[in-house]
Amino acid sequence: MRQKTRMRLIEYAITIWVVITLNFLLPRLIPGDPFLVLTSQSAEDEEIVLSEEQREFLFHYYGLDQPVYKQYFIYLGELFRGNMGFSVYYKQPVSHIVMHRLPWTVFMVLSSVILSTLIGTILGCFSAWRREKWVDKFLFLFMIFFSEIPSFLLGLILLFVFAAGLGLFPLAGAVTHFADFQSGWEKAWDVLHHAFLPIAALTISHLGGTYLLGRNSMTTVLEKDYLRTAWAKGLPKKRVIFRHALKNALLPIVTRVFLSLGSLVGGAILVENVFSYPGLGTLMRESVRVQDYPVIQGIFLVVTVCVLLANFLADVVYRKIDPRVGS
Amino acid sequence: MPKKRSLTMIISLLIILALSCSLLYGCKGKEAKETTKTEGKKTADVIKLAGGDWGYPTPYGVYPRGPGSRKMGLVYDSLVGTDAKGKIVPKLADEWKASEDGLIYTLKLRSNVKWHDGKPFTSDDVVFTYSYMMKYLPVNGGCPAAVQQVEAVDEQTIKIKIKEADVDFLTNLSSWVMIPKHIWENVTDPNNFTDNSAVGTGPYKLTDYSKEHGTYRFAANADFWGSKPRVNEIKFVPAGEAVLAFDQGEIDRNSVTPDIVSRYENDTEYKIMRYETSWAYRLYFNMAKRPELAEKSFRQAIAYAIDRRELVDKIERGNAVPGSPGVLHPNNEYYNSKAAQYSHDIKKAKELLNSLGYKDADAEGILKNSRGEKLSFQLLCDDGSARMAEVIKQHLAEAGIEVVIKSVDMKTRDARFKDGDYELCINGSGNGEDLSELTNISGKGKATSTTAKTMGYDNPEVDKLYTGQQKEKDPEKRKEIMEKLQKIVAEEVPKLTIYYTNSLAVHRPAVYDGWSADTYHSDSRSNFVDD
Repeated sequence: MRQKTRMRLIEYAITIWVVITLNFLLPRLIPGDPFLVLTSQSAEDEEIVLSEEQREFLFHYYGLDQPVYKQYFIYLGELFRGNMGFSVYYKQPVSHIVMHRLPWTVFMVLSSVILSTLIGTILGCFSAWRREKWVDKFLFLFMIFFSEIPSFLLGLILLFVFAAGLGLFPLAGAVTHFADFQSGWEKAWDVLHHAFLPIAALTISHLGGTYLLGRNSMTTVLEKDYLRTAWAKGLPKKRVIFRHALKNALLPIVTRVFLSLGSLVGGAILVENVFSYPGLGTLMRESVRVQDYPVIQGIFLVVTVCVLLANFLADVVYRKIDPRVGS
Repeated sequence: MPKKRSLTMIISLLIILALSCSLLYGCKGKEAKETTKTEGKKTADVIKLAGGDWGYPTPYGVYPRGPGSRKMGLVYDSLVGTDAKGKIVPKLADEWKASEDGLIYTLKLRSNVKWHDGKPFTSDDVVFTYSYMMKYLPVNGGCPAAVQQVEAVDEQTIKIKIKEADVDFLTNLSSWVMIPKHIWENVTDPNNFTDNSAVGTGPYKLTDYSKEHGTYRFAANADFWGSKPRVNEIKFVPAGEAVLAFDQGEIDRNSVTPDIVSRYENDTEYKIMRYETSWAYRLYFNMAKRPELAEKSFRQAIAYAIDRRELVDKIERGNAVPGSPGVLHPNNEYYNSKAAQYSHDIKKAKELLNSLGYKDADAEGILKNSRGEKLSFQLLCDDGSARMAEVIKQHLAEAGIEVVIKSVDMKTRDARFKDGDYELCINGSGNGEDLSELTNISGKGKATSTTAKTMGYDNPEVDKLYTGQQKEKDPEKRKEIMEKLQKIVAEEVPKLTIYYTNSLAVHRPAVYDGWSADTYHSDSRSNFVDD
């Protein structure tokens, strides 16, 4: 058992090291550098062309004039000391920037995980209960359809219809700016109001998967022998499904919740850009555009660690709820 | 192949969606059209503009790309400024005098100017700003490289010594902003210093900034030395889709593309302002890489073959000014209207190419040289100018030149352009680097001064004229030199200006109508205050 845990830990450590190395190399493979600004996209976007001396100064200032392997070891050394570096573009410590943005993305992703799992499971069970009836067929088609729309596209549709067309929700951002809130409740309501559409987009695009899994899992469980007793006792169908079968049908769903965190973060990045939500997604796009190496490295690192953590949790939780695993 | 097809599917789906959405939305816009004609408002309490994080508005905090520097311009002042026509106007200095040899400038500072925190602004601050910015290089607003020494004569007078005489020195000086000594003197890492440091002498005080949300709030400075700001408060808020945000009144002015400007035409609720800018798309010929291009008449043939008027109509729906081969915009005070124009003429292009020995022997449409090799070039462009590249490809095909388009992202294009890794290249820029980048004058410092070298263009006459006009004090003589310079450049076409873009902006006059007719940037200071 202890041997196994140690092996797992080594696995995680190697994964993180590989990811760190890739994170370090990939941004540097993009043509250009953080200080190369020669042109702009339009007259609105003004560029400041740096002189050769200014560029040299900045390269030196940020240590980018050193050989790449040296930069790499410096980066690794700093990481060990918990220092993620200093942003070239934003002029702030990377950890500071990322920690300000991370909560927004986590809030969005967690809300959609919880919502899509709850709604998906309930609908899935409902479908399994009414299997082959029209409700089931309708739900099935409906869910397949929506789960195939990419989340950012869904976000765009929601934005056009509910924010621009009907004016029910704000167009962009995460809070009303420069507002004086009377109470904490008012502020919380404002945050929810802004987050509604992005979370809805992410939830809906994720719902299909959970629904299908819930439906399949429940159908399989319903055919198991031990449920015969329940049926034989003459319990109502609703009770059988939600009290007896659900416990066992939940297993694959729980695993999915954790494993899907990675893809949800990916989806969140796109959705954030649609609503200019101040999470990691908008930051990532911007930092890639301006080739801010330390920030790109920082974001990828944090996201990787989060996903690995989720995997680890999945392991632990799965072992807890399914005694067959891990013994 | 199936991958490509599915991509096309997605794209067409997206287009359909976008169209239906705009249709849905377009209908809504029409309903709102029943407004009556309103008198424009010359002052406003609050103006909201599209925000986004462009850095803390100090010379050290702003980001090198984008509108951060103009936000800095609301807070900070330079010693002198330039008006729309490029004339030097007083700012923090209200009198100036150059010495006979043009090497020493004596400036008299305005009296009773106060920093935002109430402390007086003196010549000490100017001297400090100079030495500080020499030690720590700012992102923007730095001291011109030509300055050798700044000294305070008395509390209201300073003396600036420069390395070599330059008639444009005061113009260059207008970008140098003053920072207060009492705030910055103990700061040793200005790049990382933001704590309430945006203290300037300018018309607006920064009252709120959020990096994370991309918001700024500026309040009018009651003690401003110039005239009273016309807008009390300027707010920058994030606008995901600026068009939607403007239509919902979340922002009060928006820059629009020629494609959507018709939405606002013939509607009294809106006012459209059009500006001609010197921001231009240009076609570069890499003579070092393709010796054919080093032939003057070859480049002229290309200039004849490309129909710049049609490009303006097709790509910008007419909202642009066709490029002049002499590089300068027709509204530039030094513009030479007599320089060669190369109006569209395929026949002439073909004649020139034929006389160079390129023949279409097998009547295939593409010219070949004496060794039977096809006349084919790779055209490097970024995704933003890919449409333009397609039209240019058609135009050159008519003249018998094959073009292979290589479309990459902007940064890749910039990197390859800098290294001279291209044959033909479309580049867009508006930094006044227009003529200097054709010179081989060393020590000019700008990254683009290597352009002429990587292009393989070297004309000592151009270098001589360029330096000559920089030193010429007499405006008449200077114009003469500039005209000569443009004539040579137009004759030799080392680069071809395709067109100068126009900038379009829409606002609601009922909210605020004080927008400057000279500067097209909505966040520019001249929209809110007369200095």
